[in-house]
Amino acid sequence: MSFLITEVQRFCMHDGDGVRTTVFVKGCSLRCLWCHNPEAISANNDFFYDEAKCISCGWCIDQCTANAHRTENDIHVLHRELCIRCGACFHGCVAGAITPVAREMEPEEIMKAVKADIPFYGETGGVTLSGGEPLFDTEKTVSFLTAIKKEGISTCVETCGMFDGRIIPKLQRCCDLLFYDIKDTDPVRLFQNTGGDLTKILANLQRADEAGIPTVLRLIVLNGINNNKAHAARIAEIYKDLKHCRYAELLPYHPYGDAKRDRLGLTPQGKQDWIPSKEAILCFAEMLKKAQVPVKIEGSML
Amino acid sequence: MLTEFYTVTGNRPVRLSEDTRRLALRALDAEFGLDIKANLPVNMEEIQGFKQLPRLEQYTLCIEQIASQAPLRILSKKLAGSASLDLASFHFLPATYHGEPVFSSLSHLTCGFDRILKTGYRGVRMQIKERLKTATEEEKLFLHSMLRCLDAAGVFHQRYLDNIKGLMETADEKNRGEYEELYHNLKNVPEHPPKSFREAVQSLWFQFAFVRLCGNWPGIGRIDSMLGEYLKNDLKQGVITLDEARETIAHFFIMGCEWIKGEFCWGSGDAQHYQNLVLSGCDSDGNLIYNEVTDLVLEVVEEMSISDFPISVRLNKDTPDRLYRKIADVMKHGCGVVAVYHEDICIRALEKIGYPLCDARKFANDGCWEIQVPGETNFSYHSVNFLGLFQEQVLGVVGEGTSKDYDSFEELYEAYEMAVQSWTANYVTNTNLDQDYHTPGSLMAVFTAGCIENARDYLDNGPHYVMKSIHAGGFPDVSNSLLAIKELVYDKKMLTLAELLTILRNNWEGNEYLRQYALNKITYFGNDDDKADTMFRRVYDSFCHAVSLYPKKGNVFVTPGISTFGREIEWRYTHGATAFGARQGDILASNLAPTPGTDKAGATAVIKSACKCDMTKMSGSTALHIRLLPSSVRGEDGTQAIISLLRGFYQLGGFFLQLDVIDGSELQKAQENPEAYRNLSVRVSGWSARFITLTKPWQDMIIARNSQGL
Repeated sequence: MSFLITEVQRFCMHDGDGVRTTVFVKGCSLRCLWCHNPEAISANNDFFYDEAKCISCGWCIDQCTANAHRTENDIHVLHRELCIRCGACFHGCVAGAITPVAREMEPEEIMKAVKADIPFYGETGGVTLSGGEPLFDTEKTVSFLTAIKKEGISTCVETCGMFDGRIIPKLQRCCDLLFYDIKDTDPVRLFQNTGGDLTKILANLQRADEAGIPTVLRLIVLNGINNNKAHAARIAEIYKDLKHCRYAELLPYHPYGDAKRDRLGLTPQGKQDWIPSKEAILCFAEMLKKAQVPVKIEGSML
Repeated sequence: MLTEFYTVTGNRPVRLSEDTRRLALRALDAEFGLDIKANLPVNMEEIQGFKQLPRLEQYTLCIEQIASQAPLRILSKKLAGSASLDLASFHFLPATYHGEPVFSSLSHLTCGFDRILKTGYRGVRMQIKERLKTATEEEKLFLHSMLRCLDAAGVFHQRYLDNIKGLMETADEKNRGEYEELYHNLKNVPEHPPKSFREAVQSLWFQFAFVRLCGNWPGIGRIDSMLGEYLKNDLKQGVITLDEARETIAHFFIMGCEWIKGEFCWGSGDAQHYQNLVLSGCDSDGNLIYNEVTDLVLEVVEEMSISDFPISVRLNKDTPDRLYRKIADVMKHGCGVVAVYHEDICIRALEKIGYPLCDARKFANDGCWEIQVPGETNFSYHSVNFLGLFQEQVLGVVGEGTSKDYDSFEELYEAYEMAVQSWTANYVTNTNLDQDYHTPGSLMAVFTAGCIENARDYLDNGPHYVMKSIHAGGFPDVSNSLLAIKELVYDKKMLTLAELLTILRNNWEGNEYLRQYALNKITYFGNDDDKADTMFRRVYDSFCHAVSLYPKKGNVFVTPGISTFGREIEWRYTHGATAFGARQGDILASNLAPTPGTDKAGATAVIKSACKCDMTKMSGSTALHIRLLPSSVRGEDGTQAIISLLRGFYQLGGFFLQLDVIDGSELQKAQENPEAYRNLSVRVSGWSARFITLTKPWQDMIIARNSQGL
């Protein structure tokens, strides 16, 4: 029943109401080009390699079963393409050059971590599940959320919408807020850039709303991709049909995911061009506002 | 030329008049501080036979000379009184003889301005005259010195009245009106109790200014407690509006900036003159103090980036949401101006060592965060590096001796405990628990309860309370060292103690693998890890226990405090290599905060770790500081985040918390381009300083501090 968790991050203030502890689950149903948590996409564990920290002590070379870690000219070199992700080198690097992307955590362990910050949650804070896609494994997630609710802690789930919608009735009983990503409303573009099925994503949103789950629409804004009137108009339409949607939050694209891709041995995918200017974000926000959609940017409601 | 108030994030509100804002920018721009550089101290050679006179007489004459000769200046038309002698800003009485200052001055206290406000100087005079009736000859000398200091204050006061009258006569219509009001507000105070809010503020300022003029650096204390009633009455009677009151308070703050010179000063930044304010909290009866003055003070610092009055808010169970929000709103702008106390813990700490509850409830602080009963206390402290003690005496890895050996961890710990007790015993025996009377202080004695009753000077055991605090630093470092040794040597048996100590003596040379292991594979204090925090608590308790062996003697208290106050910079060269992977030269723990680089689980984890200690044992006070990234306090979400930290700190039983909002990369930019960052302040230890006025080692230390947040 364990989860593969990339991080348990305390003191998050942009992942739901109040101060929250965000638990990042590994494994995602999408492959967004702009993902800023690329380490969480695959459901299999992997490691980060930060060359600058390596002290060439040779430990990982001794462990490696695939000859990916080697000595060349007296220093350590990694040939990532040979790596079979056996995990032998994940946990022993003293210099922190090799760090595992995720670790197995039993629900009890996650619960303990999550309860640690109860003194800071107050009336509004709590736990957020993110990732990756926390609803990748629906039953396991619902079971865990139920346990958290039993402790009196509020729950929030960040989802991309690509999950088995049959879980929604059970989800309603244990999820206080659904942070719902709508990355794009053009189905072709969405599929090209993320692999997502817009019909399914919107259908799940509809079902969640019908079940009474409060939602927040999380809208990544990418210059030159979805930063346009059509997308804003479509979002406004979607919002109008929802009974329990609190507001839309704009998330300007940022290229920080690429530093992580580098440490995963992946080629960069981000583009500086995608970064929207401050004016562009405000303009997009105004379009939504004019269409009666409450908008949040930079931590405050507009 | 400064044209705007620096902020780390967001926009500062605009509530004050353009004139006031401009005046503030001039003060922050060092205009007024630089102006007094040319003002020479008074020359005591003018007095015949000065050198042969008794010390007390010399002191009194200095005060009289200063009062009658110090240049007058009117910087603000709302508040008169200026500490216009430059030498005063260097912690000396600004009086010299053959070019040498005759007396040092006093600081690390908060004056009893609240009492003087209520009785006026007149009331103090009456008390002294009453006491004279039963005084011995020696006591009479001292009491007469106090009376002469009050007379000198009166001379200074009259000079200002005459000056303002002169200005009234030559002023144009608009200015004449302002000078008239200034005259009117100054006329009867501080000699008599004030009748209005404006008079009260003027009285407080004038008392403070004269004491500062004479070189002393007191804190101001519980300003909302002192001024709140006056403002309430005036508002009710329609004599003043909130906006007008805000202007007056703003001018108080601006005047407090009259010593800013924008230059290096002893490394700890310019204008660090312990001008401490304490807000809210309960009164002696346990009722919450929270009034318009509380709000206005916070609003003034929210608007203007004046960090020269360090503000501490006393939190208790009645602290309303509104006040939490106001604190968060100020903190968001950075500059580290506002910190918080857990009032209940502080009061309990004082009670535990023998303070009566009604006195404990009055607490304010001194130069940094050390709690004391204001207007009744002589506070002093002695700084000691416990990491140095541990490295030298327990391990023998620095200094002349040889490395020690211990068969078990418990043996090692016991040796540490003995070292702490031995050091404490030595301190208590050798320190002069009777007063260290190195300078007369009759002027300050006027403001300190007990001095008149006892007819004894401030440093001569006059005050009701004398607190001598042992301020030990390096706690997280000692705890982390013990943790690392336990794991490496006794638990995992990776090497013997002898081998480890040899490696430490060699500054970890040639042992990078083990050093990286020590640095990265062990979880240390500050990460909410029970194993590490239990060790920390043990070290904390050992220290508190050692000091508790010496309960109060009469009115003299020896108290434990944990602090470094920036000494972590000089200590870097003497602590040697540590078992947790630090090398000689590394700057280690500041005050109660985790060793730099070891806190990896965020702000909430740091608070949780620290709060596992019983803070009611810390009567000498301690401070936890946390730095937040500006991105993590953006918008309404950011305000909520700060409030959550404050409330969590309260719930968990912390002592004192300083939050500063700053990005390390911003500080690096400031190092490279200081002119563009003249107004950027950072929380240093118990005070804030303009970053570019710190010397490079101090700047580097602050940059090395970890910023929490995302």
